[in-house]
Amino acid sequence: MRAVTYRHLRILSILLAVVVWQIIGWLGAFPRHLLPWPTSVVSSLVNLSISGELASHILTSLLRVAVGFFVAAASAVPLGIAIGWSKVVESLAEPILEIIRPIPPIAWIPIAMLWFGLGFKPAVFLIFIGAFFPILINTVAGVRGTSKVLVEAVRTLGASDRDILVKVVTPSSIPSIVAGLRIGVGVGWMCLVAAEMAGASSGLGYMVIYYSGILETSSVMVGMLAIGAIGYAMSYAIARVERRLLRWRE
Amino acid sequence: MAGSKGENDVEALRCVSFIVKNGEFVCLVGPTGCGKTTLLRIVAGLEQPTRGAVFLDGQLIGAPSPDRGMVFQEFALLPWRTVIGNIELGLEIQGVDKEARRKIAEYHVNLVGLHGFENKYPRELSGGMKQRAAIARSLASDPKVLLMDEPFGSLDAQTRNMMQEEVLGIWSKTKKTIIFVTHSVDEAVYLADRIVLLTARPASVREIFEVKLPRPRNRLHYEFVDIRAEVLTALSEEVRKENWERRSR
Amino acid sequence: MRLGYLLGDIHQLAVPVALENGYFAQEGLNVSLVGPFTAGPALMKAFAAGELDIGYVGTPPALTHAAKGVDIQILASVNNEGSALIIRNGISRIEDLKGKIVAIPMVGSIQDILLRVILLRHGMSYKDLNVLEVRCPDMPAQLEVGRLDGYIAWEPYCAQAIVAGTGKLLVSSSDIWPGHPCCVLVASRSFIANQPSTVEKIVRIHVKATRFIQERPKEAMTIAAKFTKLSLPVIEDSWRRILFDYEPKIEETKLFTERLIEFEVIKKSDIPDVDKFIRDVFNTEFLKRAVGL
Repeated sequence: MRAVTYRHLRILSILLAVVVWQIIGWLGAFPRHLLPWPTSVVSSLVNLSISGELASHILTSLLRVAVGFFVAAASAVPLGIAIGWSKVVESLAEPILEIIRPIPPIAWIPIAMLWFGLGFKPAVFLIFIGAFFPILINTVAGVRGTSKVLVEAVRTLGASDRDILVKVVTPSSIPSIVAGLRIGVGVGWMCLVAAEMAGASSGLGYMVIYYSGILETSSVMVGMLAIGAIGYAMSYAIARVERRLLRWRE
Repeated sequence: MAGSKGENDVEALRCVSFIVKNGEFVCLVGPTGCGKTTLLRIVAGLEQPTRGAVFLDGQLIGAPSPDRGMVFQEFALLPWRTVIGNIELGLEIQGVDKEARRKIAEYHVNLVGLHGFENKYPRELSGGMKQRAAIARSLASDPKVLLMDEPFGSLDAQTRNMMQEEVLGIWSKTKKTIIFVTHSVDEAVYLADRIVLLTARPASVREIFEVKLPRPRNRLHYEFVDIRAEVLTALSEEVRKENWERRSR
Repeated sequence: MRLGYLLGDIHQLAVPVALENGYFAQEGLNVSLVGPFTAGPALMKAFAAGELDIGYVGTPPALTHAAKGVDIQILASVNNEGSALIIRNGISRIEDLKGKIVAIPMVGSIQDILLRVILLRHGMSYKDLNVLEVRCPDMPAQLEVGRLDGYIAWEPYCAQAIVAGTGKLLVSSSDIWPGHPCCVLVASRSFIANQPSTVEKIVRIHVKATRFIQERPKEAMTIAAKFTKLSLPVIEDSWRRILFDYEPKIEETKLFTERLIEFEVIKKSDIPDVDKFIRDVFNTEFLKRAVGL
């Protein structure tokens, strides 16, 4: 008989949770609008999938997050390298960034709507705000964490500042940068619900808000689970890429 | 070269002045923390003296340059590059074209005995192999002087002895001038033509020992043992002085 | 006694009027105000969680949540009508809206239904427009910066654009569906069962406040200005479209429920018998007694 592995336990835990949930439902401990039965959630999932509504919301949200994330990465990585490398840039940029950073994306919604309007653009902006700072901070840390002895060794080969930046600092920062990207995409994805409160009429975040408004709690849960599952898949995908890229690490 | 210096708030070197001949193998020894590494770094151009100067071939030295290659105790190989990638690095920086780079790099791979490991990453190498790669990297840029800062400090005793042989082999093949910092008198007597003994901090040159023994040297030979005893005695005095200084503070 | 109401909602003027004139104190009631809520569904969720006894809320969230089993009953109307379709300058007819961007507060809101009705009358549907969902407070600004061509909202967000000159009235909700329901007074069934005398007092207060608004508009407007922080011109303009009345619009609410089922905002399976649902959700006993006095 095969031994019970940890993998089995993990799957078992999820199954057990669902069974307990269903039993609580049968016992009628909670009204259905407060805690829908797993069976209702599954049936909502099926309906939303068949009608194509779920797929459409997922694609819309993925597009918004993709754009927001790429803009964040394209701006945060170079800026992070500049801040980590140059004291001048750091002194100029850091005060403003440190003030902006603690502001949660939700607080940006009114300004986002005034500047960018409704739907796609403000959503992208809000996701950008969410993803930007983790990427920036990790990039700066990567640059600052560059081994001094590596820099000195390469200097003795006659390297200029530019050589050091390109051949030592940047490659050395890549593990940190990739970690920042992984966190950034996760945070950006989590901002979906907030981002889609800015006049969006589609997307997973919108779906959660809409169904919550008419108390279709099982559909709300489908939305939440979709957000969770896709977030997990993205994180996993990036971790795979990370491992492939960083084969040289100890 | 001639020079003296102080560093930040701590005076590391007071009055250090000596000349190194072309093709010589010179070892710097002294009590721990006496400033021998600082001195080497000044020669490399990684630090600037507050007073004094270093001349190479009659020219005042400044910023780090491939003329004065340096090998570090921590190896300092770029982990994301293969062995041959690391060795090519200096040539890349100098703008040597791809084919020429490859040829020079391959020559040096063989010179240090790493043939077959060109495409390995540093993490796949042992300590001794990493240091050999680092030496090859500095040598590939054809330096006038090779500076080595306790290069075998992080290796085990057996690898250390093997690497000492390796360095002597490379030195006799390339005829480079080598300035080698070590805290092991034994190592210094085994390798060097001359040994510069520094005093405790702030350092001055206490004495320069000539080691006129033919190579390969025999550690058990009485002349070896004599010179070693001489250097050790002088060094121990310096170490005692240093402890006395510290206690009386 | 926990009473919930909506933020900045001029329809629910009865609440500040009753507070300002001390009606609750006069009846010996200790009111604990909960909120103000920024949206109807949030208020209804508080009912679901047992955090509210009495609420002033829009009809749609009351219906959608009652359909899902939140135990409330509608005791009286708070206001009827009070919405309008606002357009930017440069548009003059419904037909001009073809291909334009128009905002509604939410799918399944009264404004949603009203817009569909008026479009239908002109041979159009949502397919001819670009309909977005926007929160009412954001609508006037978006119209002003040109991201919306029009919107249909409840007061005071219509008057705001009109008074500011950034938009004009195309059609008011009374033109589309005269006497349509809007905000209602609801109470949880358990509260009605446990404290019927308190409920009676509250309905009485509500009637009194509503009559005050009807009979003494100038003073009511002053109270409105104080509590909503809107300017007097905006209040005066919105006043023209709001019908403050306590008589429940039962037939109209039934029609509205049927529309909600038709548009699948409410599942047919949740309300198999609309008549029964309407009969159960309305409780006019207290109102009858209060008015009889």
